[in-house]
Amino acid sequence: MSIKQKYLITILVFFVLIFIATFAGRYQSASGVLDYKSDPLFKRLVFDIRIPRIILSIIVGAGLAASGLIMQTIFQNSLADPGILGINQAAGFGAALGYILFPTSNLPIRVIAFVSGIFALFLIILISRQINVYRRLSLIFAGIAVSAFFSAGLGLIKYLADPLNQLPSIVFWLLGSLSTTNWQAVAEITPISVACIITLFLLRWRTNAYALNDSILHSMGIKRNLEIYAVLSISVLLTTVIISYTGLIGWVGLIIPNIARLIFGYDLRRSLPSAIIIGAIFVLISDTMARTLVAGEIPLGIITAFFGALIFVILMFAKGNSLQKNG
Amino acid sequence: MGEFIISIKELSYSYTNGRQFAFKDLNASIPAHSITSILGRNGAGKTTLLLIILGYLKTVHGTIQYYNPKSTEGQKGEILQIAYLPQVETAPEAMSVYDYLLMGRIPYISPFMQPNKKDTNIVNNYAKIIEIDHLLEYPLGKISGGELQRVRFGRALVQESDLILLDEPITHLDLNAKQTMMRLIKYLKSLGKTIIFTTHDPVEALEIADHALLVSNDHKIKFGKATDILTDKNLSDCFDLPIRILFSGNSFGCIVEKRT
Amino acid sequence: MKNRIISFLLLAGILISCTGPRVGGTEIYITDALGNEVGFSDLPDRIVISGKQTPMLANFAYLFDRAPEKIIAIENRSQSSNAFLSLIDPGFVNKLTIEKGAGAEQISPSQPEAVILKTTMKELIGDQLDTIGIPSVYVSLETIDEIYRDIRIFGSLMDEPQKAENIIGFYNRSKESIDIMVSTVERSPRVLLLQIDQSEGSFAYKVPAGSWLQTVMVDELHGDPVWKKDAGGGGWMEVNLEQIISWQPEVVIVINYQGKSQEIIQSLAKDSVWQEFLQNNSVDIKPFGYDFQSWDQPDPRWILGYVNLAHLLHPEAVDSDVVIDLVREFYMELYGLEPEFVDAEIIPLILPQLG
Repeated sequence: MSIKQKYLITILVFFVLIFIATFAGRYQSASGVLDYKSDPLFKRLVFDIRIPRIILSIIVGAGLAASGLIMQTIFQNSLADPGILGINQAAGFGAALGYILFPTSNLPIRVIAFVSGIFALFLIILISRQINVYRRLSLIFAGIAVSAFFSAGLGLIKYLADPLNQLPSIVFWLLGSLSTTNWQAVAEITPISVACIITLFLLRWRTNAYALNDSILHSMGIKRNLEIYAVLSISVLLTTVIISYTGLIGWVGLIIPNIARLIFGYDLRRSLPSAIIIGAIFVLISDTMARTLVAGEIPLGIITAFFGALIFVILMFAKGNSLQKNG
Repeated sequence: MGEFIISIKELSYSYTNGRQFAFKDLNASIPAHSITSILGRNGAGKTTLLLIILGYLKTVHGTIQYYNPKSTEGQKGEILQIAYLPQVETAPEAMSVYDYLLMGRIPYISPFMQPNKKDTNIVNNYAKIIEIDHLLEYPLGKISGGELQRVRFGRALVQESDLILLDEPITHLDLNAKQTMMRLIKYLKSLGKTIIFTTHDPVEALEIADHALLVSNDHKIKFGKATDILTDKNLSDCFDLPIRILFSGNSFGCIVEKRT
Repeated sequence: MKNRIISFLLLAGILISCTGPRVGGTEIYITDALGNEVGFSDLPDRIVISGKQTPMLANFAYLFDRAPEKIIAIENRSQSSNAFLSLIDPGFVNKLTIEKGAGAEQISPSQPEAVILKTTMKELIGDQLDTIGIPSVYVSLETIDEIYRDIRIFGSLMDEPQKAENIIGFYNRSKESIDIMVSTVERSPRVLLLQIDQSEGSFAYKVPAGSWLQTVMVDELHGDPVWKKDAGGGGWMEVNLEQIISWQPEVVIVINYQGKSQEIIQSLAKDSVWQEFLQNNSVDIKPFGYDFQSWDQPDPRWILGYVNLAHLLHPEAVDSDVVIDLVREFYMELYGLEPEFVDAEIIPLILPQLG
């Protein structure tokens, strides 16, 4: 199958799913699915609840997948994603801290989440350089340490939060959810996220280059470290803005990039746009399930973890098999 | 004597901040459109010198000036386009040969832009010339060592730079690949480029180099025409072995005489 | 010979009787909510209340007159509960010596003779207290029957069994009279109890578990709890607005544990979907009663929640005056507050809610 065909199918699936998601929900209009006119409440519901949620789930999926792919490419490690590296946990910690300190305003939450994320990135790079093991493992070890550190911090915040006032909100939010999404949330999250995604998209070919030796890039006039920090910072901004709103949603940044590379190839010019769409599809499906399967809201993070882990195992089998076949 | 491209004056470099010098007071003028080989034993500082010429390592003392031979305004210290092939590369195995070659176009494409038709054509052209166009779809991890070396070479070609620095490009190849690589280096010269490469095999230097920088362990560096510098005596001193160079009409050989 | 034997027996008898109390003979047993028979030689004079449900337990304990003497330390968990209990016990503030989340180690310095805990705190606190020899008395208070049983446990501990019966009698009479008023109602309105939290423009919605007291109250008051068939067993279940609408409630009663129900109802009125929902489906939305605590919980005020709910569901059968009268009676009879005080400090809190 050619690349063009693959793209076509992916985009087709994407639009079909948007269509389905618009009509899926706990409330079914009594007079039929397409009848907006005789049921104004249904129309309101679709336009003011379902559609903002669909938009945000697309952005969340696109953003987390893009961020994961960029990190995996820069670190040359197909297990590197914001979740494994502890950036998610840091963003969660920062957002929870921001929520406790500034319960009435959203901006400090996003800012503190971002600062935590950057700090985590800095720690990851610092620690993985000190660890003297096989290169790929050192990053993972650093990620485990940083993850644990911020998870502990988060636990501390949960402990300190007044149980009647703030804790219940924090705990459900931590599991990852889009349940409170409305147009205001879309207005808050979308501009920065889309700006970051577009920036990463424009940098897609350039980011391939960072895999080359520092000396080679120097010969081409490129300041490799500077550019890498810049690109990673944009990735971290994208991730933390999303996580600070949705709570901890993992696995998207880990498995979607691997799927995109498997189908579309290594080059970011192909794998990045496809990761963006496939990520959007994945979270769109997951969130539609979260709000439709049962009466209660299922935390989105749980659904992405469930399917994410499943797909992860399948991917490992596939990679293992292909390694064996090619000897 | 034609215009020169690199002017090295009183160059000194130390690994340990002034206490131990890799080399001292090197003077050399490397001419344009020529092949220069840096020859010496392992650990003598060949790679270091190459990296200094690249500008990646900073000198302790002395200067290097670069002159753009295409500049019509006389000799100025303009930065040249330099292509560099390190000894060992960490290029990702999953990247395709084509995508890797395309990396050579980085200096011409700004960060937010993507390669265009012109870049694609350049890659395809050079791939054809150095006969790796049948490998373009393969990932780097799936081609042989010799093919990989040609591919890396191709990337330097695609970069279309005036100065090309190669770190031990021929050393680890089998006999056939060695011949191919030496032909490719001469091809570069025919394009009007200036090449500097390192090696510890005098034969490579003698076969293709116009000039030689001989790096000895006593940190004395000799620079000059290859045939002048790479004498039996100089080589024997440098390698601390009784070396005799043979010439059989159109190719060189190197003999190490047995001590009796 | 006979004299020696008698002297020996006398001596032995005296010695044995001296050691009697020190060997720890227990004379009083209290059966707690877990079925444990907790033994005391004398009723405890130093009682501590601790664990997550401390405010609720403390509010029950302070129904009894001897509580201010006997309760020496309480875990510091809720501002509003502390504020209320200070009205009853002037020395209350000094008793908040146990920090939030304390374990057995932090409790022991108070040297309690008994610690009252909710049944769910057994593993966390109770078992630890056992190992250091401090008896725990468990209460559970999750259904009306349990409340009655556990009030008797409190009564035994405080040595006020008669007061316990009085309290239960009050609850029984009040509930019966409400039930009679409600029995004439013809139809069951579709009811949704909704806990809502608000943070900067977005709302989080939860419904109570099917087995909980709130849900049971709706059933008993001839209401139709629309969420019950979907509700989880575990606890508060998070739901979204779409689900709320699809349950098609006629009456939505808003619960908020920071007392912000009315604020939230006003904010909801500005939301486009809620506007459509409330207007076009003729849905009534009202706050659940709240003075120092929300009246929906298993708290001594549950009966106030009951009458409040009855008024919200069937305003034609249960007037707001009924609610106000019961509030007065409750605070006067059960907590011994002066009528002037109740009228000045408590009634004003709830009047706006009865709207």
